[in-house]
Parts: sequence; C-alpha cells; structure tokens
Amino acid sequence: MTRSTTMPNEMKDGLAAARARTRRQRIILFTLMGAGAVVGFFSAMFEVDGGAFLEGIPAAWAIAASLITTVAIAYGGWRYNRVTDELERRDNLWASTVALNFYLALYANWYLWWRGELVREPQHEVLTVATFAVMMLAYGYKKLRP
Amino acid sequence: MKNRLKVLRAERDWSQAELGGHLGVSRQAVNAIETGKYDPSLPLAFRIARLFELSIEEIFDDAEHDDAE
Repeated sequence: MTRSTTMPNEMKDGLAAARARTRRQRIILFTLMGAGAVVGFFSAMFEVDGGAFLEGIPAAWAIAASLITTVAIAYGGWRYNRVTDELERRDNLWASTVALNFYLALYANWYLWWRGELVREPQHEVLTVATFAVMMLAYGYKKLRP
Repeated sequence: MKNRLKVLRAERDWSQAELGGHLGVSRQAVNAIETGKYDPSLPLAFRIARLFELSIEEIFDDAEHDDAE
C-alpha cells in the first residue's frame, strides 16, 4: 500500500475526527450552559420581587437547583475532560490553580482585615464571582500564550 | 523542545486540524507543539511517532541533552 493511495482516506478520517471532537465538546458546553440557564431562570422566577439575591426561593426548588448544579459540574466536568486534549486540560488546571490561590489569599486577607475591623465581613458572593473572573482571565491568558 | 512535526505534516499535505484529528488532539495543540510552546506527553509523543512511522528521537530534538554533551 503506497502513501499516495492512502492519503485521501487519511485526510478525510483526520478531518472527520477533528469535527466530531469539536461537536462533542460543543454539545457538552451547551448542555452545561443550558443547565445554568434553567437554574438561573427558575431561581429568578421564584425570588421575591425587590428582595435580596435569590431571597424567598422555595426549599424544594433550592434542593432541585443544587442537585442540577452538582450533577452538571460533576458529570459535565468529567465528560468535558474525556473529550478535551492534554493541552486543554493543562490550561484548565493552570487556570484552576491560579483561581484557587487567589481565593485562598483573598479570603484570608479579607477575613483578617474584617477581624481587625478595617473592612466589613467577607461576602461569599463577591468571593465566588471574583474567583470565577480570575479563573477566566487566567484561562484566557494561557490560551493566548500557550 | 524543537521538533520536525511541521515538516512531516507538510510532507503529507495535512492541515493542523487533520493531524489533530489523527492524534485525537485539537488544532491548537498541534500548533503549540509545532511552535515549541508545548511539549507533548509521552503517550502523545508515541502516537505521533507511530502515525509517522518514526521513532520519537527522529521527530523530537532534545536540545538540552545535546548541549550537555
């Protein structure tokens, strides 16, 4: 079997495999985004008008939403890691490590400053959003500079 | 780490996406390896070597080892 006779099929196989991989990744990402949209939509629907963030959501929905979130993160994360390659996993690991270190440093400092009566009590919503933002920035940086 | 991946790919007239498809990695991963910004794991290096029917040493150049000698 010569190379010239095998190349067309090899090329098709390679492209088809690359497209299938991208499709699998997109399905997982859109499913995760869908789970987030469902949780967000119903939580906003149930919350009290003019109340605090998610104030007044029913206990049953709180349990259901936490189950959806847990399954989406655990199963979705596992599936995503199955279809991504080692470079993507390295970038995710790097961004996660940066974010975890940021969270630990921010919380520790905020807690100490709060105890020293310099600032108000640490707010977990701010900590979570800030950690997520740092993770996204770290991931983006790694994508631009592999 | 320097390598001959770009040359080997060009010899077969493959795009980075096609080579990525053969290896089970993304186009970005192929690009990062070709430009020396990412060193592949040992299993991926073996997959690359098998695909091109060469040994790992024939594709990847261990410049640090050469410098030491």
